[in-house]
Amino acid sequence: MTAFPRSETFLERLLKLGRRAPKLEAQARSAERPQGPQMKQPTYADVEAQPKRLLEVKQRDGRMNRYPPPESWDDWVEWDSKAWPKKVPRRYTLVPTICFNCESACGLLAYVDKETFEIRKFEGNPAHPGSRGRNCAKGPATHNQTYDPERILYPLKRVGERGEGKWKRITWDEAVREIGAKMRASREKRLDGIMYHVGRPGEDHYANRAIKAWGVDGHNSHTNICSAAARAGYYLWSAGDRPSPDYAEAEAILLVSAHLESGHYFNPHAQRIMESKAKGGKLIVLDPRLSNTAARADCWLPTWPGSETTLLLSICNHLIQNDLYDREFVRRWVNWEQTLASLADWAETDELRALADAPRTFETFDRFLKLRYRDFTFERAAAEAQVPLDRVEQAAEIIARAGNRVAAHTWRSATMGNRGGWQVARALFFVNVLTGSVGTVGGTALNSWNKFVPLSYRNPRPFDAWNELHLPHEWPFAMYEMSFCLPHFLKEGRGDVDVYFTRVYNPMWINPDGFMWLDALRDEELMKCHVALTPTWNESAWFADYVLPMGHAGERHDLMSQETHAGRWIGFRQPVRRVAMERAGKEVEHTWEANPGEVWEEAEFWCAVTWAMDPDGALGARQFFESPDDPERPITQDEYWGWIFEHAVPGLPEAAAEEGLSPLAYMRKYGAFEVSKGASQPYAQEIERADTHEVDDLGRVLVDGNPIGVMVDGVPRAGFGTPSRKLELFSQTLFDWGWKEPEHVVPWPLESHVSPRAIDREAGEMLLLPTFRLPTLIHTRSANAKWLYEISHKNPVWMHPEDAARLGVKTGELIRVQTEIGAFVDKVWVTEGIKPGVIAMSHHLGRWRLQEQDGIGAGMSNLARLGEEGSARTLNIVHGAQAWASTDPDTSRVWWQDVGVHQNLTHAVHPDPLSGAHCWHQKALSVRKAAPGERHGDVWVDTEASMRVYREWHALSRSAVDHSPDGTRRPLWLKRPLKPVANAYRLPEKPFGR
Amino acid sequence: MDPSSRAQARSLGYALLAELLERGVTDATRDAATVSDAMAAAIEAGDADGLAADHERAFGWAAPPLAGFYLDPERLVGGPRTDALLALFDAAGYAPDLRSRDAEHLSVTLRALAFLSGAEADAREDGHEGAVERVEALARRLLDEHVLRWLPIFALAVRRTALAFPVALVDELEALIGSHREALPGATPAFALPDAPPLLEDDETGLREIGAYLSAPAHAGFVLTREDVARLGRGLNVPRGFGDRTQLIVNLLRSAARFDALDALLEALEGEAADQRDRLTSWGPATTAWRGRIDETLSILRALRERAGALP
Repeated sequence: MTAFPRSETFLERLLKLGRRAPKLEAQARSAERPQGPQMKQPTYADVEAQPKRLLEVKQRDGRMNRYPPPESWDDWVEWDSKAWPKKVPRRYTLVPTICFNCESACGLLAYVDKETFEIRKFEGNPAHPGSRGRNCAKGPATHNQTYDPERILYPLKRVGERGEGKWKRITWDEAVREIGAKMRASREKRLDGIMYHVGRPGEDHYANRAIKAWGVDGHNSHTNICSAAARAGYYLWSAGDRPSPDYAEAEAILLVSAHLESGHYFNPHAQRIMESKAKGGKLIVLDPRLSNTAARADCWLPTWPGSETTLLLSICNHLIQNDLYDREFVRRWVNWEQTLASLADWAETDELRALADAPRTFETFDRFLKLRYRDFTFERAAAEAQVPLDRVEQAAEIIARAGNRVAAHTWRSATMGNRGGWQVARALFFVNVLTGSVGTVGGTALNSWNKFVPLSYRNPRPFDAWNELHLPHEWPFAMYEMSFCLPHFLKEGRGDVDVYFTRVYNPMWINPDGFMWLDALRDEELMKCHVALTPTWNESAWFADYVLPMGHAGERHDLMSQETHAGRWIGFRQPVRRVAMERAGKEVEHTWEANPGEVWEEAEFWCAVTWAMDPDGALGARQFFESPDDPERPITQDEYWGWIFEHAVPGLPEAAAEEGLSPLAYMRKYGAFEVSKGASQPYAQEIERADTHEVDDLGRVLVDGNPIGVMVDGVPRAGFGTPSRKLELFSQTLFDWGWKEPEHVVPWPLESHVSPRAIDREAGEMLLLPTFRLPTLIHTRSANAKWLYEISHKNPVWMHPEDAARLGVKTGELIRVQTEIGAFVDKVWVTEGIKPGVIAMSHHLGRWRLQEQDGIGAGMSNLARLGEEGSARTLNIVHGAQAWASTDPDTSRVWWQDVGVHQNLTHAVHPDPLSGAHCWHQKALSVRKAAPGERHGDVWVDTEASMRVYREWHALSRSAVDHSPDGTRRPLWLKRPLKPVANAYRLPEKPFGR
Repeated sequence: MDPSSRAQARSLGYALLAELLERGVTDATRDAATVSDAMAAAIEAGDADGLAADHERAFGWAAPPLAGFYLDPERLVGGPRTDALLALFDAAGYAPDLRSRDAEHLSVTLRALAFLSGAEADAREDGHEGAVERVEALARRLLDEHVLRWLPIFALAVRRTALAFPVALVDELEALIGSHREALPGATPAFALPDAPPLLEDDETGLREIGAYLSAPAHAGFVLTREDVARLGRGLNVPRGFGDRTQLIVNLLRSAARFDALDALLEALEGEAADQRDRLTSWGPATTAWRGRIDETLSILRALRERAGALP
């Protein structure tokens, strides 16, 4: 008797069925010996799984908080995910490093296989104070870049014509020797012949120290297309050139940016903005585009580009007229006495001028504020910005309620989009000043208060030189070098370059007016030797003489710190395979021995090339790269960083000693160190008053005539780095250097070149907004990260439905956009996420290559043809992205064709008359449906128009030759990345063009 | 039915159930599946899309037919258990196609049993007693050392979905395996589940660890599905958030703690565990092991309630 009678019926019926179901019968009898490839049977390593308790990081939202504990980083076992569903254990050594894919310097943890030294993956480093174990998509994508089949693995030297694409592989010895000889030749005859042009610095002092060691004015940066205007605005207030908001503790966050999705420091910033929001903090976003950040805002103000200053001043005016501002803070820290004293010189109304003769009291200043800013009503702001009135009121109320916990930020966006954009930053910081939110908990600090840059080992002295191509006399307030105008300067005959280093920089592609760059890079008389230091192929490197592969985040030594929050830290980027090999007892002399191919790192390269430039030490450069133990050999990375960590980072030697480690070993183990925590107000620090100190009329404490502090209510305090040692509402410097008008000397709106008055919408003109980026992209290096490119690879033109209806275009259709100097063709994306009258395109996309097989990966770039006829230049797309065969099977799976349009080629240069920043917004003279024959990605430019527009903007500048009050080129207190000696500031005897 | 025909019929039964378990009802199996009245009724009552959705809900979510889900503390497949299975398949002369399925999927073992039953039918027909013995020994090992260890908890997990066709399928499967094992000589050997972590003794135990314990059938002794978590949350009016199943359980515990409903949640979990213990079909040593583990879990849940109640 069976216990399973049910089966009897089932089996009997099956037996009957079997005769009628031969397929089932065949299946039942099948021994299944399959043909074809079987799943690979893994072998099992000789280890037993040992449960480990994971390190828990207390993230406030409870997410992403478990990590391998540091005590297990030397030997970490995980199942191989690729072997799933098999359990195949792999042993890793976990090496911390610093992400190199934006400037945030987030912590990464590389999982390096202990047997093969392959990097399995990059995850977050929980020991990193800025990123706290979290990363955006760009961090893990470092793995793509490391194993990119198209990357440059060996030093290459051009053997054909520039741009012809003929290269030969050379050794590092050859490269270093040849380039060092060229540098020596230049250095022996001049101090401005070597130019280091940096895109992504990714480190804090090493390269700059090398330039100083060479004794040349050789630093050039991308700052003038990035952040110069914001820097100028902040600097004129405070002598600090960027804000460092304490988002996490803020009551109100005021962004003229998109820091929840992109922008500088967005990962560390975004997580802290969310912390604030979780606690009830309110987010206000000014952006004409519905960014992901704007979408998360409590108050989104889609301002017409250029109206931001007016809107911000309406908030200031609300605080001023209703006595809602922090009078005590303003009285103590703003140069109100100097402001009142200056009124007779610049105030434009009798009412204001009368205040110059009134008693110099704070009440008079309060009266000044109320008179000066009374016209900035909400109604005016709403009308100029084209936003609803109640939303402006809402923003002002949020600010008014936040007390001194207002965290504010701007970096590119409106400051870099508009002529006069530096006043946007001034107006924004005015909100901080009026609310007293300067360095407070939940307020906005200056970057130097939250960024820690240690003193370098053997710091070279400042150089006695001035490179006219960097900072010409016409822009004495430029922040920093006028780098995007370099080809225009060269074309004007201002000079030439002996050795031009581009470092993680693709000037032809990233700058406006790229065809001008193309002409300059091709010209061997002007650019005598171009050395491209780059981890990946790019458009500019194609025209270089040497292409030297430099490492990604896990392939190099660098020291970094960023002002990510209220606190200071350092992060140590490391070549992770090298570190893993050294942990395993293998000796590595040069980092390129451990990296893929012969990819090197700049830190060792600069040392080697300096020795090659100055082999006998006669130039005085070699001494800075000699070993402290043996001057006859170059300093090693261990020696250099060991010295820094031992001598220049407070608290680190003690923390290391507690673990029985040297400071260097501590940093190699953890990859980061927290120097200090919390908000600080160094300006309020009391200084010791000595008998030798003097106090002048401005209340400044002087030593030998130099201000070191300021008297505040009878107490000597450090103050700010400005000439008055106070926050400067009124800028005496601007006044003295020829910017005397009321709209310049105090925070005030300046009319943008794309104001509603400048754009004739009735005639079909529109405003092209090109300043935003997609959060997963990394300027020109995204094209070597397949994961990122799969996520975002195209940059259609955003267009409001009203405009689309007017032009008769639908999403996906082609339009032609004509700028001042050329035109491009792109697809349109119809969306209500952009204001009517404005079109927008993200940058970073539209990469191209000139040969089918070489250069940027075929899946990430267009194959293009360049054309030239007279002053006309063209770029035509042969075809878009394609799948291709490589060592990486994923390249055969590329499914997209549209990789965007290179719009920057058609942008005229717009150097701001004061800050020198490129004002990115473009006037679209016409936007229409593409005609037959006009193809996606096609670009046309007239370089004569390029020079014409350049000259128009050049004419707006105010030269130091005409306005310098003291015969110098530039106010001495203004920041330069590398400052020469004071003597170098003297105006030249024969200024260019005079 | 003579032994040879019975073996032949069993071979067809295993093959049919393997196909249904792996792919659900398809045109190729629709007619054959009607040999079971219950399966026929379920097919009759539903359309093709509905049957496919039920299949995914039962075997993709609530009750994965993978040995490792029930027997491995991390709910992973692979390792020595897969090695042992592959060795048995190899000994039987059965070479499964593993390009698109895992060796631990129940359908693979059922196909091996189909193959062995077919071989048994041939051997009996040919009068090869030695071959019959060898085949029976291999089938017994496949059942005793693999399928029967997790069949009770798997079958219950399927039944708890109350989805007509999956339940009918698992009913037929249990009956077929039961009658097969009944016909094989020897008793099923004892079986023990892996040791559970000492939750109560560990000072570091928190809600996360308790959640991880409850999400692993090999530790808790019962299956807490996503739907169970949702139902418990709704019953207590506490949110469970988003995430994988373990995360949902951890979220539920945290929410309950936050909204002062931890005691009620632990009590509800006790009820859940006790209910599953009582509904386990009797399969000898395996069922004893699973019931014993549920009893341990019940003790832990009770102790946690006492500790939670003692908190200020």
